[in-house]
Amino acid sequence: MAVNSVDGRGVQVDVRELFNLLESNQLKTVDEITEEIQQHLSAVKESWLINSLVDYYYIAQTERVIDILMSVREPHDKHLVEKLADGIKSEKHQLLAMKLLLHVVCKQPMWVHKLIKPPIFPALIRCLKTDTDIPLLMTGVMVITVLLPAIPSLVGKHLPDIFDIFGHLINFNVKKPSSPREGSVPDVFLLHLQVALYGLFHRLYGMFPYTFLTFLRHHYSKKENTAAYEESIKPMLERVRLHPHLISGTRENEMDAKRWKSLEDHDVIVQCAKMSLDQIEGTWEEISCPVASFSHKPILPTAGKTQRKTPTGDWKKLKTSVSSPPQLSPTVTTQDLSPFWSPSLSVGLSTPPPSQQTTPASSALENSLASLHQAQQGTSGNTSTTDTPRGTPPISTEEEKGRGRLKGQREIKKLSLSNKSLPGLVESKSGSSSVPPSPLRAEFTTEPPRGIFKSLPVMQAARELQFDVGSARRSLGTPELLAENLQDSSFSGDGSFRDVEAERSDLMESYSRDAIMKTQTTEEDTDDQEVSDLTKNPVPPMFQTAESVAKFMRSVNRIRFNSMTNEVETILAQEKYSCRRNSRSCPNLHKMPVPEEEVEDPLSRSVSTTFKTSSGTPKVNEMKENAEMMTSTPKTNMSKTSNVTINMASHVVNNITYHRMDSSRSEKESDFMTVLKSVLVPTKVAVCQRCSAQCFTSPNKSDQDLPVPVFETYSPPELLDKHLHLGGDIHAKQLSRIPLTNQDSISWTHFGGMPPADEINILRGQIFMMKNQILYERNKRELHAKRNRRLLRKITTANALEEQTKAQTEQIQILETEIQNLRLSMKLLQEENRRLKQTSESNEYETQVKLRACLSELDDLRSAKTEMNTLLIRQREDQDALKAKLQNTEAKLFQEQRMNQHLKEQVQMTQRLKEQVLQLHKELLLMGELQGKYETKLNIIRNSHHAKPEQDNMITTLRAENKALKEKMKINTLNWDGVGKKIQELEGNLQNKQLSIEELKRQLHLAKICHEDEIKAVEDKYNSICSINQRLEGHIMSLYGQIDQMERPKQAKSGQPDQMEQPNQAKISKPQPSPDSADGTPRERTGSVPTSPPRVKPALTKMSSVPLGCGLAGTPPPVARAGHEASQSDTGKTKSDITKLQPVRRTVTEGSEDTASISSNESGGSLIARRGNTLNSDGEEKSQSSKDSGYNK
Amino acid sequence: MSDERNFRTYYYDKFGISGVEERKSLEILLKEKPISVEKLKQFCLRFAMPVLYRNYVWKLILDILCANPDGHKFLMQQRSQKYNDLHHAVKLLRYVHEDTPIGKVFLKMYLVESGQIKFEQYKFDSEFEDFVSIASTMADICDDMTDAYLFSVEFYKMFIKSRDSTSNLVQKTIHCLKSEDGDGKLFDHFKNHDLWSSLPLPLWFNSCFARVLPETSIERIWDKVVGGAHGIVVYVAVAIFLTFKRPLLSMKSREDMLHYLMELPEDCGDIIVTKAIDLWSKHS
Repeated sequence: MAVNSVDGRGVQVDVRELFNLLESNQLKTVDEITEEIQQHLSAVKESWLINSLVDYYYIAQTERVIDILMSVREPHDKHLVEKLADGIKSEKHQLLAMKLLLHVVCKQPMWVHKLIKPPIFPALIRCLKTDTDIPLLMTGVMVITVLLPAIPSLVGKHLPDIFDIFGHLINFNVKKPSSPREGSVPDVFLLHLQVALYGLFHRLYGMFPYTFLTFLRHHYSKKENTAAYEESIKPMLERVRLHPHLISGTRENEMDAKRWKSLEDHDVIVQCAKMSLDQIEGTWEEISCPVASFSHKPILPTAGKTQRKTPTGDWKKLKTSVSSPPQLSPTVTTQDLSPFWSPSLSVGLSTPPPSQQTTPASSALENSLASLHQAQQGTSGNTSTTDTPRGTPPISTEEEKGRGRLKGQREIKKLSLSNKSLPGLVESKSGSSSVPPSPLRAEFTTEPPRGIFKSLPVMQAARELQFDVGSARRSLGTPELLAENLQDSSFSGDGSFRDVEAERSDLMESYSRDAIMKTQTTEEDTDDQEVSDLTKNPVPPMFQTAESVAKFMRSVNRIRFNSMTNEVETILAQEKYSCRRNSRSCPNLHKMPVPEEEVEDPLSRSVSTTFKTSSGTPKVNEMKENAEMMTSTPKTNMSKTSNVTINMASHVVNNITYHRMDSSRSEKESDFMTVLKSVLVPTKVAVCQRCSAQCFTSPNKSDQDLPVPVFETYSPPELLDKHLHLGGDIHAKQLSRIPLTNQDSISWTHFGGMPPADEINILRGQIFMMKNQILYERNKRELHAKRNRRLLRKITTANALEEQTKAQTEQIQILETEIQNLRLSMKLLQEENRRLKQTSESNEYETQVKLRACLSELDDLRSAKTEMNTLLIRQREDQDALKAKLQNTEAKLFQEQRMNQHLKEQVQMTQRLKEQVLQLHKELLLMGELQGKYETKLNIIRNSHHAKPEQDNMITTLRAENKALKEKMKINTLNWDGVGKKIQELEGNLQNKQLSIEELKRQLHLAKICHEDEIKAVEDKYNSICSINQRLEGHIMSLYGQIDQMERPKQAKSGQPDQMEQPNQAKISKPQPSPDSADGTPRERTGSVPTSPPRVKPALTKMSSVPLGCGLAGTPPPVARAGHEASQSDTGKTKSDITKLQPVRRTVTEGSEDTASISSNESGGSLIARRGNTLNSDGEEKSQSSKDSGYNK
Repeated sequence: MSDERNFRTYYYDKFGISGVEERKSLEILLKEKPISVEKLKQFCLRFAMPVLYRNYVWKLILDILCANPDGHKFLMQQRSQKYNDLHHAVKLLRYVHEDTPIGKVFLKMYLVESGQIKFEQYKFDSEFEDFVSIASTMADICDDMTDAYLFSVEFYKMFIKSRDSTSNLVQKTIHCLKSEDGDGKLFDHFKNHDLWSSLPLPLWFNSCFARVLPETSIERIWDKVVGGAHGIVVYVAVAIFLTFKRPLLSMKSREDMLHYLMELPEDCGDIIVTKAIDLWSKHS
């Protein structure tokens, strides 16, 4: 392969394998390979892969490669574009490159704007300008048409080129181009080209009306172009309305990029469509032309067909729904709209509903069948009011029948509206007659299954269909039928089962198909028989050519057989196309698929087969068979549909009035065609009328009663449709008559020959162009879908806003009522106010009058007052003057009186003074006499005074005496001083002496204390010694006692103990004078052990110390000696103790010297004797005595 | 006198150099003529007694020596004579023999001296257990046996004269422990085990902890007792409890605790005494 030479080496093999695998039958491997290539693409940045892919596409023309190439992303787009530009430039791959380009453009990748730039766009332009190959041109035009709304702002500078191309290609219509390669171009091709140009025309007019019209004006003002203008441009212009921009806009304005900024591609398209009056190309609001899309779809096997069908159906419905309102009362419309709207709503303009996983073939078959019924219905709908399914669902009660009938009429219109494409179908062979009724069918076939899911509903549906047909025959719906319809419709829920329905519909349809078939076959109804007969007709040839000729012979069972063949087809189709089935179909797909798939599948299949044959796969033989089958099947389908249309036509004979006009246009006329046209025209007229009613753009539209064709000519798509339809009809009807050689469907290999090349080529080209058209329509549809979603959102928002406004209006009403109330109350208040004002005014007037009177009075009074005041002042002045006078007089009087009094007093005084003067005079006289007397006396005394000497002597003596006394006193004081001093000295001495005495006393006291302590200690010692002695004595006594006890048994006589004691006593009591007393005591001792009593007794006698003192004074040594001896005799050990004792005793005696005399006085010699008696208690006594002596002290 | 003390005393106290000022003040006290026994008692109560003067001071306070230092020599002579006599007498009387413990010897001597000895000479020895323990401790404290004997006798006499009833002291001990034991655990512990009834408190109080505490530490307690603060015994008991709080708390049975208290470790003497003196000074 040339492709693989790009990279060479190891990759080569890999790529080849990849590509081979890409064509594999296995769905999985294909997916995997696609995936792998995609990964490669993302990994590799170089161009070789893209280049090789494109090359491979040139060779293999595989859809899969297109798929891959379409989804190429950023780094590779450049390579792809370059490669495509090369392809367009080259002779060899021009067409394919263009096709690929169209695909890419339709896909609208992110880098779509790059397509407008060189190298590709100039190449495209040049190609379009120069080339004459119609398919190529058509594809190119499509590319430009699709590209225009996608990049409106960039396309401006290329507009002249595009216009040129447009003009150039329009001319083809008049003057057929002759290409060097293929000779004269077939007319059909021109039709296709016209369709494409028509689309381009609409785009250009819609987007750049001013420029475009300028161009047209300029271009067709020339003589040589007038023919083309008449032929082509004029009809086109007839189908557009006046673009408002023509008036408002300017040339520069149009080219301005700003204008497109706010618009998206679908907005642009809709804008363009709005300008169109054509049913197919144009739209009222969002409606697009359904026919074109249908007619083109079969060419698109790769993309999801199902995906596309639904929107068109929706549009149609929309159209009908939109168109219906003006003719009906609002209530009815709402009623009517509901069933209409529900499917379209459920379509999910916003989101694509779950997919329908039907196998294409089966669905196709189902659809074909269903379409048949639909067609019947659609036609019957024209005549009878009752049998239209749309009318029935909303009517839930019997009372509404009348309304339903009314509705029915309206529905007829709708039907006709939907059927409007029928005229276009006349010429087409693709059986597009099934297309228009699709909405009907949509409701018709789907709604019953909604409610019921078993065979029963299916049967009912079938019956219904037949009833409808029957009713159509009878040209009037009987009430029973209506009732049945109602019943059926009542089964179906109104829209609640949408989701379920989506899943089940396929099943239902497959059921219904068989069921209907059967019912149809078994039915004795003649009408049905007729239909079946009609349908049967085309079948035989097909089957002859195909597999079972024998089955063909059995015409009775033909339908069953048909079903079988269909099944075979399903299998094949599954093999072939299941992988391409796009899963994102809409729920009401089942409503629509009939027409498209019916047509599509066979066609696409045939296309694919052709592809295969060309690619030269090993399955050629198989494919051939398939191809045979496929080519045959469409024909059957087509024939069926055509039959249906014929049926319809036959039923609607009364409407044939206008077929003549149409027939004049059609070239390949036949009886059927006239009838068909007569059927189709009215519908078209009806549509037009509707459109006039809605758009007010076509003023010369006639009523339904007076149907007049709107346009004298058909628009190119219409023409094409017609052509195709007619072609299909002819094929179906007269195939048997056509020589075999002319039938492209015949397997020529079977006869060992080749079909005429021309025919096949034409057909191929046609298919190719159809595909392109479909692509174009698909693109449009997608954009419309986008718009639909947006609009739906807008609707919801609008609804919300409406709600809001409603609420606000209510509020406003409330407020208004409130305002009115307030106004009323205000009025009342004003009234009151006025009244009050009046009263107040009158009051005021009265008060003013009063006030005035008062004021005048006040003036009078004031003047009177002033007069009175002046009077008063004058009188007061008088009074003052009088008063002053009075006072003066009074003062004078008082003065006089006082003077008088004073004078009187003075007089009295002078009298008294006179008396005194007299008395004093007398006294003066007396004193003078006394003075004289005393003067004389004094003189006498002076003469008699003398002094004496003795007195002086006495004074001197006294003085001397005084002196002597003083002397004496001096001496005495001296003596006194001396004596005083002496006394002082003596006193000091005395004090000293006293101090010393005190000191001595203190010392004495201290010494005394000291000695007392010492004595205490000694006494203590002595006491202890005494106690020791006592103890010792006690001990000795006990020892004696023991000795006595020991000796007593030896000396039994009583004198013994005395003797024993005697010496002892003698020893101790030597100084004792009386032995008698001593005799007594030993007896005591021997009698009892000496205890405390002997101690106590001596304590009572204080004289015990006397002998001691005696001892001291007289004979101390004997005592000591005696003790000494005694101790010596007893124990030698005590010797030292006693020697110690002696000095102690001495000290004791010394201490108690002064007491000795007393005690000696007290105690006589008797006591000394006692002492000797009580030797035992000696110590005690001693201590006692010493104590006593202490006390005495 | 204490007011005229050196201001540094406080710092001495603070730095733990006790005894410097005390000694001086004691010397001053002892230089007086005649010596004031009351002041010496106060000194004993307030300050730690220097070891050098302990003997002398005790003699003064216990009236073994007179207030006038001039007669001390003579007095001591007399005392020693008395001691010798007594000692000789008990030996002579065979109350004691060579290996009789010195406490017993002193007891006999005391009994002989006080004339309390009877013919049944061993009969009352058990009554004088306290004396024996005091005397033996004294004998350990003093080098001179004469002093020891004199101290024992005088101390014993004074102690007998000044002490409260034992039950009263026990009550005081309980009260003091209750107030001193911070967390009350020990008190509760004692209460729980009914320890008060079986504690050797009477013995301790009567013997003034002789033989309970080591000699070196008991001197300080006896300083206070000699000073007239007989109540210190209560605090000594409490101090013993508090010092051995932890081991006591760990013991579960009453017998264990009693056993433990009967055999106090030697080295704790100082701690106990210090604590006891602190407690006593705090409470007095």
